[in-house]
Amino acid sequence: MAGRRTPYEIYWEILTFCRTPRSFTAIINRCDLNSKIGQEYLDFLATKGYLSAAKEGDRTSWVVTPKAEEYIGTFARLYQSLFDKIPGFRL
Amino acid sequence: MTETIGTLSENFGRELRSFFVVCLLSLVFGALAMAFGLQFIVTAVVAMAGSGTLGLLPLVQVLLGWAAAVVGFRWILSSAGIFRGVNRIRKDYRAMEGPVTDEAVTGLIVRMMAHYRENWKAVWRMNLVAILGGAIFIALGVVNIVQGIWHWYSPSPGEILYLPAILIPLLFAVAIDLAIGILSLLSSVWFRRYARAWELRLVEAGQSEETLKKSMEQG
Repeated sequence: MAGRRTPYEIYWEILTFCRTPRSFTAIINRCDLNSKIGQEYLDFLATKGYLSAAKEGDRTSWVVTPKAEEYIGTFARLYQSLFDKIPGFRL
Repeated sequence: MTETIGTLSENFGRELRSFFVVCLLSLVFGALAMAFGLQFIVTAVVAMAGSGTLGLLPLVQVLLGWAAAVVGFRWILSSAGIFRGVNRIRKDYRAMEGPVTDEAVTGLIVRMMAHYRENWKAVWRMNLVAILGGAIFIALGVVNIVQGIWHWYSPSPGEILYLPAILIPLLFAVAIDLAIGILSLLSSVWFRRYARAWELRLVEAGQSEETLKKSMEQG
């Protein structure tokens, strides 16, 4: 998902993508991040308790925690309201 | 909730379709501006070579043609960048099957926001280019009219004038120029309306960031 996104938009993308356990590579590919920035985002979300890392052998996968649902819900409500509040463009 | 998401998705789809059409029209106008510009230059140069003199009208025609070709080229470049992004989002939107989920719609809104943030300068440039292109086409139409009148009142020595033979191609050329000119000016209005809607959304989203920040801090 390329383009200029705010950190909050990237948090939302990572969290919704990690509803099922995902590898680090899958997350950075899907969210179009480089590995350094991607790691910073994952660490931040893990510190906040929104993501947890699960180890399976030598592989680590990331999965969203129930705590993140509030953020995901608030984000969706706020962004969807942009279309309700502001008249859209139409020909 | 599903019904609300359905309506939101339909509104989003309608807006996406409208902007896609404007971008497509913009690409077509850009190509036409370039083609007509080049054609004007060639016609004027051939006319000047035939008469062996540098007339004022053919010179104006060459300058306007050159301006139209340059504007057309810039027009195509700017439109193509915006069009590519919108087309990608549109394809993903159309590929969604069954009832659209809350997350899918939010994801598309995020992508459109990111696309606008990345292309806002190009969108405003398109607005200016469309105004400039419209003005050039209308000017070309006026030059065509002046040329027709000039031809009627000062025919070449020995030339027998037949009104329909002059009037029909003249009206055809003027109609094309004016139609493209007016549509181009209209497309600048559409670009402005689109930009205004997304500017407001960006401002609103900026204000929402405070709420998201609080939500994050509470976490």
